[in-house]
Order: sequence, then C-alpha cells, then structure tokens
Amino acid sequence: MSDKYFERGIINIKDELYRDISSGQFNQFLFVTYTVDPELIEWFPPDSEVTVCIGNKESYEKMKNNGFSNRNVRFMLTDVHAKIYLMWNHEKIKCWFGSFNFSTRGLFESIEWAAFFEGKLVKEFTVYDVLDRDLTSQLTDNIVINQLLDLINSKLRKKDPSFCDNVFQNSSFEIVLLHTQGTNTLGRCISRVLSKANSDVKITYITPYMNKSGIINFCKLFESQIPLNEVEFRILTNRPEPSSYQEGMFLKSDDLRDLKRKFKEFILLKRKSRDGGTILRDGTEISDDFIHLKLIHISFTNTDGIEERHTIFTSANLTERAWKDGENLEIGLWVRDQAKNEVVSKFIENFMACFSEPDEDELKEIDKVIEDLERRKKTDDYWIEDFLKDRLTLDEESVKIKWSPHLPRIHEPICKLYMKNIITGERLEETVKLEKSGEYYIGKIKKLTSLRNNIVDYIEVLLKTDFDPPEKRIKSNYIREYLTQVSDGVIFRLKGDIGKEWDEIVINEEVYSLNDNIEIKIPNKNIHDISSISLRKLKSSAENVRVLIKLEGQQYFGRNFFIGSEASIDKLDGVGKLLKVVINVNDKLDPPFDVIKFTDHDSNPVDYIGFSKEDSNVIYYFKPTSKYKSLKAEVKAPYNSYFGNESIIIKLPNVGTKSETKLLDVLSSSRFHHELVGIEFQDESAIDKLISEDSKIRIKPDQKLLELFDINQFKYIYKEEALFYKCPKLCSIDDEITPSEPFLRISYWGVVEIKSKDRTIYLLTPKSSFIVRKNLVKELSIDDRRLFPLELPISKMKEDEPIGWIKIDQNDIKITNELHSNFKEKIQLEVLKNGKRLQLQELPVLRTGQAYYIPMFRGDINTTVDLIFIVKFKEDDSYLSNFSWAIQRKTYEIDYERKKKMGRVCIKEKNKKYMIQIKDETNANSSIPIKEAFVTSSILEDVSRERGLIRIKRNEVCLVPKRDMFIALKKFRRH
Amino acid sequence: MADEGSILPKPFYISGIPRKKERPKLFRPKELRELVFPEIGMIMYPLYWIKYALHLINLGYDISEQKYLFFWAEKEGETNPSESVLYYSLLSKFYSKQHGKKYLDVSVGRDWADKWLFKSEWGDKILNELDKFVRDPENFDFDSFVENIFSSDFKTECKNAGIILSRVIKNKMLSKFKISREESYSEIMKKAIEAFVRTIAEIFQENDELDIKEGAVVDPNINFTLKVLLQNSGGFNEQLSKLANNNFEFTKEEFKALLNVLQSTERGRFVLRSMLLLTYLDPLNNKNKTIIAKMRDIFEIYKRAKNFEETVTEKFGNFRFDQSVLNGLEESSFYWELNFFLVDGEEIARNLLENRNIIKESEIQRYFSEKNDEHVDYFKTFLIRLEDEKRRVCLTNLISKLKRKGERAIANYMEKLLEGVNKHHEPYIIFLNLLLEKKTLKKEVGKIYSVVAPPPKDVPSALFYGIEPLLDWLRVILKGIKSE
Repeated sequence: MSDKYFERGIINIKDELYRDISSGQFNQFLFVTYTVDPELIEWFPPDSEVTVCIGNKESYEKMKNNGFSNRNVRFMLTDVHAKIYLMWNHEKIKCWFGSFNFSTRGLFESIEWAAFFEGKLVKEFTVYDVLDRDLTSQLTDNIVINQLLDLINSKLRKKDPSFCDNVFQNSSFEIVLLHTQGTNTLGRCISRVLSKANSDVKITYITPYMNKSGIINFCKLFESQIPLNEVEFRILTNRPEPSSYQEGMFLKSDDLRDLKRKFKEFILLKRKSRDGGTILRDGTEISDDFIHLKLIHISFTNTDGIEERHTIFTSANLTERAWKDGENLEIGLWVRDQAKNEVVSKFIENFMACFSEPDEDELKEIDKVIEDLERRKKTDDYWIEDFLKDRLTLDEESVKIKWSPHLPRIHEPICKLYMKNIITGERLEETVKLEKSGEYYIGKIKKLTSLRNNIVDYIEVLLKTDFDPPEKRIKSNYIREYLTQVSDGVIFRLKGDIGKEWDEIVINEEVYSLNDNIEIKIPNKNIHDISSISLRKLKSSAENVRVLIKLEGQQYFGRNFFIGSEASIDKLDGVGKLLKVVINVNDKLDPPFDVIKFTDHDSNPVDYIGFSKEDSNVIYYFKPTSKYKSLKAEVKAPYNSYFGNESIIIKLPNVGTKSETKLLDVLSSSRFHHELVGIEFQDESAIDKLISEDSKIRIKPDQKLLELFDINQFKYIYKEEALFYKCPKLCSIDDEITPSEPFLRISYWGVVEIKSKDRTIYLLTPKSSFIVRKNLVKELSIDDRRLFPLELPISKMKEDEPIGWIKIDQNDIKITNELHSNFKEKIQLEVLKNGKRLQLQELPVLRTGQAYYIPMFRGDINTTVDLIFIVKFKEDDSYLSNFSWAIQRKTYEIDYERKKKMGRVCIKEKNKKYMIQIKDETNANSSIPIKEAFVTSSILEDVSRERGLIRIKRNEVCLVPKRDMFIALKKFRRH
Repeated sequence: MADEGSILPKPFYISGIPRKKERPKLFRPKELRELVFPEIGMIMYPLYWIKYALHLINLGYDISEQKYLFFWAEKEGETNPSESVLYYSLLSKFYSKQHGKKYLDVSVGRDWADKWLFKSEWGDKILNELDKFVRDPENFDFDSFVENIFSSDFKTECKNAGIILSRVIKNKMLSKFKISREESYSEIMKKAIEAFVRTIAEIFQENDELDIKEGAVVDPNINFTLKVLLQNSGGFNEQLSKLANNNFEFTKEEFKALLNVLQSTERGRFVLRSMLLLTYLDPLNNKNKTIIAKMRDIFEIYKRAKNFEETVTEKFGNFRFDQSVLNGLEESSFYWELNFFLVDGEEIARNLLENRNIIKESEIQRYFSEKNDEHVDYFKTFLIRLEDEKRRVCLTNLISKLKRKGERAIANYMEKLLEGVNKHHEPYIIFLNLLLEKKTLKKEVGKIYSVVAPPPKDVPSALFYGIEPLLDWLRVILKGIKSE
C-alpha cells in the first residue's frame, strides 16, 4: 500500500481485510453482507468457524449451491443490507464496518467507507453462541462491538436490541452504533439531532443510489421540526451509467424540479467528467471507480446559537427501500464528537471538487439513461416468500396458506410461529404442521389463544419444493412482444432478453411445460386474452426451503383495545374520597398500568395518583376534582403498534362538596429517593455519578411519608426506560435494584399500598429516574499496612503528629479498558475522613508513577476512623459522563499498645484482624522515605520552598503531613 | 493506522487508491513501435501540426516547454492565444466550412476539451455561436452562449469560484472584438475566433482557482517533430525551413522536404520502410480495412513480391529513396506481423480486462475457447506461424538486438513468448504468462489475478494503434507528391 495514501486515511480495504481474515489470529468469523462472491471464501483459515449472513437472495442461492468442501462455512439468508465483519478468538475481537460488501466489487473496486474497532473478550463465546443463544451485553471491552453483538444476536434471535438502544439513548460516546431494526435508532438519530436545529440546516448525503420517495421519507424524520424550505440539501453521487444502476435508483429531471421547489436549496451533484472526478480540492487523487459509500453529514446552528455537526457513516442508500420500507437491516455509525465532525466537514468540502451540477442537457441525458434502464427491465422477480406472503393468513385458531395449482409445487409445509408477550418480552414458539384441505393448507394453533398479550412476531415456513427461484413475471406492457397471433391460437416465443433456459411457463394461471422448446402454442386464444405470463425454472428434485414471514398486524388480537369505561367516586380508609376510573380492555390483553395516558379536553395530561388491577382491567385513581367533566384515555406503547392511537372518552361524576386532599398533596410532593447500598454518602448530587452496572441501589421513602404511613405499606415500582416497552415491576422496599448492564435509564415510583376490602390499591409518588453508567474502576486496592512504623514514642507525641500513612498507588486503581487511555490522567482521588473532605496536595516529584498518601495522626489513636475513597474525574465532559465514579469505604480502629518507652500502633480494619508492624526508621517523624535517586534535588528544593511539605534531612527526604489534607506524589514535568 | 493528516477522522477510512495514472499497455510492450513506426502513437494528428510545430520553432518558441499550448503559446513570459492550438483548430474548421473543403479541417481536441471545459461537439457549436455573435455583437445572448458551449463541470467550477461566466465573457469578448466596415465576413470571423480564444485564455490566467488542463493535444506530432525530424538531422536545416509555416495546405516541395528529412535519420528510415510496405498495397485505391488485413500477411507478400522497389518508388513520384531505407524491408515486415500479434493480444486483454480489477484463470480460458473473437484466432495463428524458421530467426535476432540495447524487460517478454511456443503451451496460458510478465496481472489468492492497471472504460480499439494515422499521413503524401 502506498504510504502516502495510508497517511491520508485512504486504504486498500481488500488488503486490510484479507490480512485480518487470513492471518490465522482469528478462528471465529461472523460476516453480514448484502452480496458475497465465492472466490473470497478461500480467504478464511480452513479450521475456522464461519457464518455469512447474506441479504441478497440471488447471492445466497449462488453461495448455497456452491459447496465449499474445504471450508466450514455456513450461509444464512437474512434480511440485511448492513455490511459487518466480525472476527475473534478466545481473547480478542476485531470488527470491520463499512459500505462495502464481501464481494470482489466491494473489496477490489468501489469507493467505500470502512472503520474497524478492536477489543478484548470479557467472556469467551463462539459464532454459534451468537446465532443460537441469548447473549449478555458485556462480552467485550469495546462499547461499539458490544452494541453490535447485541444487535446481531437480537436480530438472529428475534428479540429487541436493548443494550444497543440504551447506548444510543443514555450514553454520550463519540461513536454510537445505530440500526433500522424495530426501534429504528438510525431514523431516531436524524430526528433527535435535527430537533436541536434552529437555523442554517445543511444536509449532505453521499450515496450511489437515491430516489424521490427515499428523499421524502428521509425528510419525514425531521420536517415537523424544521420546515424543508429552511433546509439546504446536497446529494453527492456518481454519473448515472447503465452498467452501474438499477431502475428507480436515480433522480429524474422532474423529480429534481419538484425537490428544488420543496427545499431552500436542493442540489444534485454528480461526479465530474474531468479525470473522472478524481482530484480532491487539496490535490489528493482518488480512483475514478464507482462511489458506493453512504455518508450523511448534518450541520446547523442550534437553539443556543452554537454551530453543531453530526455525521452518520451508514449502509443505507437514500432510497425508499432504506428509509421507508425498512425491510433490510441497515446500520449507521453516528459520530457525535465535534472535532471529528469538523474533519468530516472538511472532507466533504474537499470531496466537492470531484462533483459538478448537471445542466439541462445533462439532465436530459440522465433521463434518457434512466428511461432506458426502465425499458430494459421487462420482468419482475418472484421468490417463494412473495407467493407465501399474500397467501398466508392467521387467526386465533389456525394458520392457513391458500395455494393454487398454477403456483410452484410445495410439499409438507410446516409453520413455526415465533410468539412474543409484548409486555414481558417473553418468547414462545409453536410448530404447526399444515394439512391440505381443498385449496388450502391448514394447521391448528394451540398456544396463541391461551395467553394474553401474545403476538406472533414471525412465521417461519418450512416446505419442500422443486421451484428454482426467482420466477420471472413479464410486465404487462411487454407481454405482447413475446406473442404472435396465429389462426388457431397464440404463440409465445422466448427471446434472448429474458433468457431461454426455462422449464415452465404460466400463462393466465395455466402451467405449460416448455420441454426445451423456446415457443409454445396456446390454442384457441386471442392475443388480447393473455394478461399474465411467468417463467419458472425447476430443480431436479424437491429441496427443503425455509422462509421467514413477518406479519403485518395481528388479526386475532381483536379490533379494539378499549371495551368500556366507568367513572365513580370511591372512598378509601385513611385516604378519603378519590375519583375512580375503571378501564375495561379486550380480553386478549392484560395491560400494566402505564400503557394508558389521560388528557383533559384541552389535551393537557392528567396524572393519576394510583391504580389497581382487577383481572385484565385497570382501575385508575385521581384526586377528586370538578375541574374536568370528562377525561380522554389513549392507548400508548406497546399497544399502539396494534391499535393505533385508540382512545375513549370517560364522563366524570360530580365530585360534590370539597374533599380533603391534604394527604394526597403530601403524596404527590414526596418523592422516594435512591441511594447506594452500604454507602451513607451525604452528597446526593454525586450519587447518580456513582451508579454503575455493579451497583446495588435501594429506594427509600421520604421522611414525611414515614410519619404518615406504616412502614409495611411502602413499596416501589421500577421500570427500565427503553425505546421499546419494558414492563414495570412492583418491589418491596427491602428489594435492591441491581442493574444488569450499563446505560440503562431506570425510573421508579414510590408506592403506598392501601388494602381495601376487595382489592389492593397502589398510590404513587412522583416518578424519579437515574442512568446506570459504565463502571470506571474494576478494582481499587488500598495499602493500609506497610506505611505504619513498628514502634513510636506515642507518649511524647502531640495530637497532630503523624503516626503513618495509608497508600493508594495509581496502579492499584484498575480502570476499565473502555475508557480511552488519554482520559486516564483526568482521574483523581477524593478522600473523606470521618465525613470531612481532605484537601489534595499534589507534589510533582516522581520520575514515574503516581500515588496517594493519606496521613494518620496521634489524635486518631483510640478512635474509629471512617474513610471514604472516591475515584472521580477532575472535570465533567460528555465523554467522561458515560463512566461512573467509584466509591469505597473503609473503617479502621486504631489502638495503641504501650511497651516501655515506645509503643506500638495497631490499625485494623473494622471486623478484620491484622496488625502493622514496621519499624519506623525516622523515629518520631513518620514519613514516606523518598529516595533522592528518584527525584532531582532542584525539583525537591522548589517543592519544599513552595509548599513546606517536604523536608530534606540527611540523605532522606520526608513528607511533612498536615491535618485535613492528603498528598499525591506524581510525575514531574520538565519545563 | 492513519491519524493526523487523514481526510477522515479516526477510525474511519475510505477506499479508493487511484490506479496508476500512466496506464501502461496491457499486453504490448510499448517500445516495439520503434521498429515499425517510431513516435507514431495511437493517435496522430494531421500532418499540418508538424508544420505548426516547426512554425512555432521558427517564431522562437521553445516547443518542448509549452505548458498550455492548447490555449496559448508562451515565450519569455508573454502569452499569445493567437498562436494556440485552439485558435488554429477553430480557424481551420471555419475555413473548411466556408470553402467546403473537408481536408482543410485539421481541428483537434474534440475529446480533450470535452466535458471538463466545453460540451461535446464544441467546435461546431462555438462557430455557430460566433456566427450569431458577429452578426449582432451588442444584442448577442451570452447566457445561451455559456449554456450551449461550456460543460457543467466548468460552469460549476466558475459558480463555486464566484465567477459569473456569461458576464465575464460578454465584457471580454466585446472589448476585444473590433472590426471595420470594409472587412470581409471571413476576416470578421477570424477576429471573433481570436477574441474568443483570448477571452478563454484570460479567464484561466485571471482565476487561479479554475483548474486548467495542461497540454497541447497535438503533443504526439510535436514529439514526432522533435524526436524523428529534428533529432540527428543537423538542426533546423533548409529542408525543415520549407515546412515551417501555418498554411493549412501542403505544397509538393513541402512533401519532398518531409521525405528527405525522414530518410536523413535512423528513426525516420523505420517510418519510411513501413510507408513503403503500406504503399505496395495501394492505399490510394484501397480502404484502411483492406490494407490492414493484407498487412497481417505482409511477411509473405513481401517475400513473394516482384519489382517491389519500382512499384513503390513510382507511387512516390519517383522520389529517390536511399538504399539504407530499402535494406531491411523483410525484417520490417516481420516486425509488422509481430506487431499485429501484440495488437491482437492487446485487444483481447482490453476486452477481457475492461472495467474490472480482478480476473480468474477460468475466465481467460473460457474466453479463448468459447468467445467468438477474431483476435483470438489471429493470436493463435501467429503462434503457429512462429514455428516457421525464418520468423524464429527474426524473433531471435530481435531478442538479441533488444538485449544489446539494454531493453531487458522486452527481451524477457519475447523470450517468454518463444518459450511458450517451444513448450507448446495452450494459447491462453501463453497469453496469461505474457500478461504476468508484463506485470499487467498480479497473482492473488487461488487462481484469481488482480489487474494492476485496468484499462479505462472508454479505451479505443487497439487495432488502430498507429496504423491508421500512418495511412492518413501516407495518403496525404502520396496524393500531394504526385499532384501538379
């Protein structure tokens, strides 16, 4: 590779990827690509485990039938357009992302983007674990790779990528993985970013393919926040050439005119003709190959008047398929770091020199190319799932496939239903064998009807067929080109433009065998009678086929969420009068309390103060009020995916005379609070910074409430806030919250449980929440033994004379690998002694390393010393806010044993037994001996003059400790 | 991995390292032309541009140092657009149209200036627009002028540089175009062309941010002039002076002077030998296609020809060729045959490798066995002809000659060819080995080969490599030398 290009970040992806794959250092490979070429399979080491998920059906068929006897390679047809290349061994992992497929074109030819991430395995796993087991989210020490593993594992296991989404929602890393699966964080990211825009919105999209519908759907993500007539939109793309384009993948001049009217400015820039558009503004030359990279760059002035930039390196073209249909998994890497985004901005301005705006003549030429492309494609492809999709139906009791004789022959169809409880996320499977019955294949379902909140997510159809896809269906306006009218019928003749190797032809739903003929006569027909023609190939024998069908809607769920409602006044013992609203729901559902929102007639939200459950119905309690005559109840996630925004109006009864609401007012103003188990830490603002995936959290009621209710009445409800619905859980006040992974947002309500005669009512205090950060410190060791002298003349010593040191070496603070090494110097230690914060004195005297020393004094003898150590950051920034601070508490009992003139200090951690017996060389002045060899005398003298903390005595340099301070000895810097 | 100075932030990269800018010949070693028609390349421009080169030398221009000769000639810091290639191209096209004499059109740069500066067919478009301009300069529509003539690349560049092109051109053209009533249409158009080329030159000279393309287009002719006519010819002698003018037409004396200059240098004699071989096939009465087809068998034709010298000398108006030219015609005829083989190989290579960066051995094998391609047949035929002893002697002599000249790479290439024939390799294997020897292909994993420098998408056919320009020149000479 040319060093000149390498230094400029222009690489030969083929060489890089080949080196990684074939090096032998990895033996597990999980690749996700849209297309793949058989020649590249030889790159994998022969004894490695390889799975390639392929998005393109033709490519999958080609690979499936190729047979790589010398390689253990598994191919999976998966609805993906993302390009991801994961490889690992038992200890390390590397992942390449990019716009390039695992094909010769992608690797050898096109202009693509690429990025790689590396990490160490926290836990060993194999390719099969990713495919077949639900994995934990913290498999490696790299956040992006963990996001990706969660995404792929979720995609293949048909579950929600919660960790991946939580990192997007609740972290502020400089690079975050986005996707279009379910929660569509790629789309949400565009919306979220542009929600902060105030003016000067510029969007640049580099893409090989685009269409008007793609652009419109992309813009739907933000046009409610920023009108399009305030947006400058630029597309950078190739010159359209018939060899590189498919129909509907480029803008026509009419589209361009329409779009120019919608936006403040809409510019389509195509690759320059000159030198193939290869010279960047700064003179760097790149190849004139096809631009296949996809990149979105957004800049704007935000509501604070600050210029902001965001970049998403993505696999998504600017097409309808990517931005509307969302059928195939696309990914994006969202670059949030402003410095990095400035580099991208410069790159785009630099790259712009390779593009020019087509003039009218060129637009006409482009139109011609596109029209030719459209004309050339005379057939549509039909795969087995295309036939199944429209013919498979599901009701409460059965799954049916309507199958006509003219369709490809299928045998022994079996349906595997993948079901999910949309509230608990619990998954179930049921396999149903289908039997032929008239024109249907029918199978009975058992599990679906017996469970509430259950949906069928996917149906996997397994069948046998000799159909060799795809079937080519001639477009209606081209049918006549293949037909000739003769006196006694119509002759169909195959022409080269649709190939000649077909086994069957289906004309007007009648199947004819071609038997190596290129023409067939349909007797007694008129050319006008022929409305459909399809061509089909057959395999020599029937083979097993597996097809995954995603269902639109859930027919058996019933039509409505709400069945009815009723409002009344209820009186609770010890609480008083309450407004009670009973919501009756469809009996296939069992909603938790938080799936319905209430609004008044002006659409203002109305909060309930409690709830209760009665079978599947939910009963809500409101403060008695005559403020509203009615309430509107509207269904929220997750049910709104199936019932839309269904709502019901509830007429409210007359409350009558004024009620007593004092207790309710206390409830609604008294939040519960959270604290870390075992750490009584007064600084409440710092608690949130200390919460990590390793924390134990306790929820505690407010003091005011403790005075009003019995302790046994207190409970709390907690819930993980995620992009997809997570069910709230009712917990006892003694239950601790132990977060399973970082970047969760956990919300909780305080609950006062009221037992009435027929039910339990849960009165709620306001909701609070916290975010779980990534644990910064894996281990914190404290040396509390070595730096105490064996004997001291205690009786002669004053209260503030030192008796020893507790030491924390920097190397003993084990920091998580996720933190970039250049941020390690931002870490510092805070120490609280008996609740009082000690001042840090830094002494830059060491040649290497860093260590903290906390002094103990004569006055501490015969006392219990409570020390709290907090590992924190010197300053906050958005990157560091992803990591939790660490806290450790130590309580020491310091005793003194008199022995003649000299005595012995005994320090022991509370409840632990050990003694420190080290002879004090400096006699009464306990100090850390710093040998002169480690420091320069001039630095020592400077330090001692300035701070009075060092005394140079004979051949030794001593620290002079002072109360209310601790010392950090650190590396000195030369001026 | 790259960090600072990278065009993308870490950890992002792009692929897209450019292929070699100078695309080497895929199959054919460039230097073999030396033995057939040195310095005559794939594209040669009308003979006029040799006179033009000598004309500039005569005016004191250093033609080897002209950077932007298409737009202006430069001498001692002074630029002159009226001696530019663009000026004479437009002028000759105009004269050709005006007088209805097609041969007067010696214009060049149709593709060179296309797309980055002008629109396609720009020569006719400019003349049409200038025709409208001279009729009513004050009311001329400069917006349409810009729209119709300039490419979108150039218009975008001007827009990005803040240049309002139509306004700039209007101001410049009107200030430069001064005519008197007595002047003829022809004179007026000549002035309009001059005003136009001066305007274009000024736009580039005044705006550094506009990316001007270097070159003269007629560089092959200039190169031929410098390296064949002027090298070892004893300086700018009397014969050369006869040719140094800017008249679009040639006189008989000028042709004789050209032949004399050619036979006075060694490289010129190579050219003349090829001209003589071609002349024997009567190019004035046969189409290129016929001549080229016959030239494939020229080794046999020459061997059997009677009165070869008399026949060809007569066609040159009994011009007296030196014996040094006439000796070595047999060897030249073998070089032609060998050259055709190389051309066929080149053509196959271009067809096979066009638009791709990798190729599999099976694809080459399939091409040689299944593809209905006449070049494959010719290729195979030559390999059989190499069994002939006389030809093998010629090839062996060539290898020795190449070694003596220090042309190690080409000698190895020819040895590889000879070795393939001696070992009776399959033609596709000989082809593949020669591509590997030529370093056009590089072996990758398995039987995949990457194309080190893939041919451009719009590469013209290799078959016409040098022959057609030589035939064009030859016909002009044969016609001119016998006229009057």
